[in-house]
Amino acid sequence: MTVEAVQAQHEDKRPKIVAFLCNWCSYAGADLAGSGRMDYPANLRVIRVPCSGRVDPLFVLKALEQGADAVLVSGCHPGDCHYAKGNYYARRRLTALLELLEFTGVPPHKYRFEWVSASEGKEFAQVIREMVEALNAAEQKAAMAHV
Amino acid sequence: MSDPDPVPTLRAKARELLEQGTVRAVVGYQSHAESGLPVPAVITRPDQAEALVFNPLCAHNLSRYVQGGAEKPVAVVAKACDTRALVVMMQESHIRREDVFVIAMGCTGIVDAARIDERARAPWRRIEAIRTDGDAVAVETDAGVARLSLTEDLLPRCVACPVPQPVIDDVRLGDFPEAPPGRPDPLAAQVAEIEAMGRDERRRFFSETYNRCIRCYACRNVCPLCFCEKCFADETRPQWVPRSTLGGGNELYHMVRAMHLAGRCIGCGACERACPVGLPLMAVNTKMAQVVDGMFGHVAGVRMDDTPPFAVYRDADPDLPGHGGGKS
Amino acid sequence: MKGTPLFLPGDRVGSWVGALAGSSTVFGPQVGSSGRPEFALVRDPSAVDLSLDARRASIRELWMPQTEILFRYRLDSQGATLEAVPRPEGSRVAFGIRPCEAAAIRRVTHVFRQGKHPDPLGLEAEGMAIVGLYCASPRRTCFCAQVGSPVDMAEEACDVLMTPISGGHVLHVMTDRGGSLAGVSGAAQATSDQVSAAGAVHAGLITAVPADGAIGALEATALEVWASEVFADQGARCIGCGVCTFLCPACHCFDILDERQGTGGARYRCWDSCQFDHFTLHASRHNPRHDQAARLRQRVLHKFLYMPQEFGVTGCTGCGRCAELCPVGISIRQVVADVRAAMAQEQGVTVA
Repeated sequence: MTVEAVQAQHEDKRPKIVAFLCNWCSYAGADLAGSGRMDYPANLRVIRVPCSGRVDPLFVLKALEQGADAVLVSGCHPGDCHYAKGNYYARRRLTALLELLEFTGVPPHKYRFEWVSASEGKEFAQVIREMVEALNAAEQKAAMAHV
Repeated sequence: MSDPDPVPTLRAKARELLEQGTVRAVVGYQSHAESGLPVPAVITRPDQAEALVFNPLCAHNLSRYVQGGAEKPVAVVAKACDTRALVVMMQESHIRREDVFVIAMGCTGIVDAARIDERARAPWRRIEAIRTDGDAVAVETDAGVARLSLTEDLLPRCVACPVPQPVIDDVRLGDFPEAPPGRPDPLAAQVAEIEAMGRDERRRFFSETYNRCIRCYACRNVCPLCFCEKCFADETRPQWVPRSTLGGGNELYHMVRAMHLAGRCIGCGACERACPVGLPLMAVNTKMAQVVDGMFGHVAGVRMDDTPPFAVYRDADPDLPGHGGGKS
Repeated sequence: MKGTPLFLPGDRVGSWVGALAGSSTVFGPQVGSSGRPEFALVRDPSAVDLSLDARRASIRELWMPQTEILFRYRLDSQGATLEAVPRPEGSRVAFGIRPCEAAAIRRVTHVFRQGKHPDPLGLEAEGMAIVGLYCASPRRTCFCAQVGSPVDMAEEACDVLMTPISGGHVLHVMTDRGGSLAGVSGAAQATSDQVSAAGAVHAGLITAVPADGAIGALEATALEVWASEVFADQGARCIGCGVCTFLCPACHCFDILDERQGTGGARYRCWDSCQFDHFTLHASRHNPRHDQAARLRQRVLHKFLYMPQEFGVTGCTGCGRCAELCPVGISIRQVVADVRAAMAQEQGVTVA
């Protein structure tokens, strides 16, 4: 099957969360959730990055523009970055981006920025559960508004 | 020593700089041959210096012309606010200090040329002279004199001028106010007005705003701090921003540009004035300047030895919601 | 002014627009959502306001939207499916555009008609009916009377021309199509006083635009003006945005792009500008128009030399949008005047 055909199979599954996960902490944490068979919704589309410092606010905004229902960016806790400083830069960018998103009225359920360590599989699963819950609630509310 | 009319000194200085070869060009203001409004000009010969002007209609931020491929060294006629843009360019190593000869011009505010239409007695085509007369600017047009007030008719960004003294200069001409005028800031008021809207209303406000954008890029091209040789909006490998105005491309362009300018925009308002469809572009730029100042204690271009705010960090930076003790 | 003169009272404009909207898609001057005057699709005929000065709004949208999807495609396990986007159907009427704007729109069709394959996308402009509105007075940067005559432009381009006089408008019906349009207006034959009043308005506009600034097509070869310092001087001021080209009623450059979203995408046409620095950038990174002076020269020569040589008309009708809206105040009229003056000085002759 072509890439497009595979993509088309998953096309309709909503909501879609695009997640930028840093390789050393958050991606490992997500992996831990998986290997620990923790139950969390299968709405995630993961993009692995070497460090949360690699994440350009452009990626977040681009993912939303391309139709992601929500975007998650997750990295190592400040102080624990595999590259020592990358997540400190990410923190500045992401906290500023939060302000821009809020100011321009982008609904809060469409974005979330987190620190999740490699041992925090449980916490990772919980973050995704919360995001999907919020997305489903927002979807329901919008549907009701049309009634 | 007070210098109520610095223009002759400005012309002499520009002539001298060109005659002596200290600079390859002088970027200043000239009276437009058709309308008489001051417009940017790049002069390269000493005899062209006579055409330079400076008056309270000189709104343009001429540091824009020091970007990139411009012939250096270059002299720039700069108001105090304009020098801030030069400072940011130097902090980011886009230009070197020795590339620019800064002719700082004393300014007590720029008046909004759009008001000339209201104040002239009849439709005007040409400005013959511009005189400062106490607290007013007398604009002599071919349809009568339009008087504009140096308090009531200022450009929004001049009302609460935060930096009336140049941050860098090689020569100072004219009189510089000692301190900010202490008036309420219309730009901050606009941000507050938007923040007071509910989230849905804010979303509608920005959606409708960006829907009207025609992607002419006047905002970007007039901005002194947009100097990337290849703007992300023009990149095709990958195509970050759809060129279509029908989807989310307009908003993506403006939001990313706002992030690129966060902590760098000096609030000159050139973008908003350049926009042919009247988008309120200063709102997000003002907000992001407030955010960067509030969270990181950084104001663009006010101190030569500052570091770009997103190139540094502190342990005590505000943290993400739900984490750390810092407020975000 | 040629054409059969009728008179329409001011309070009948709305009902005329309504009658036209019954069988056509009508565009007219209205207050937009931002509070600024614009030319937009008429949904409510009473919202059309001929007293609005929409002369700095874009009118290119009337015949070429900024972005227009040509077709969409989807990819799935079966392959690719194309979905054509239907072209807008039915007749269109531009109601209340000015003679300069009307003439500019009509002149563009020369470009799309040339060669073996007339381009249907560009001929939308030809198929659009124009009910023009003569200007009672010029805006500051208007110079229609310096590149021609607004009367000639109205006759060249309008199906019907409205001229504002006391109590309403005199309508001059120029074409058969205009006759059908005027036929549903309820306008009656104009009196000779009304016709004179309209004539005074026609002449008044021409006198209001200073005669000493007259320019026209550059009667020179491109080589003769190529090295003019005027282009370098003005090019040094130009910031290379797209305001002049995007707001110009005669500009028509566009790009065709394929863009993908997920498992599908679309091909669309969008505006492009010869003033953008990458407009002529080759894949090899060579750019024949390598600086802003070259790009500015291209815009000026295209409108004042190449189009006159090819089609006998200037690609500029003096609407003045570029001069008023250019962020750094570049006036194409001034550039052309300066080029002529420089040539005259150089050659000791007057350039025609």
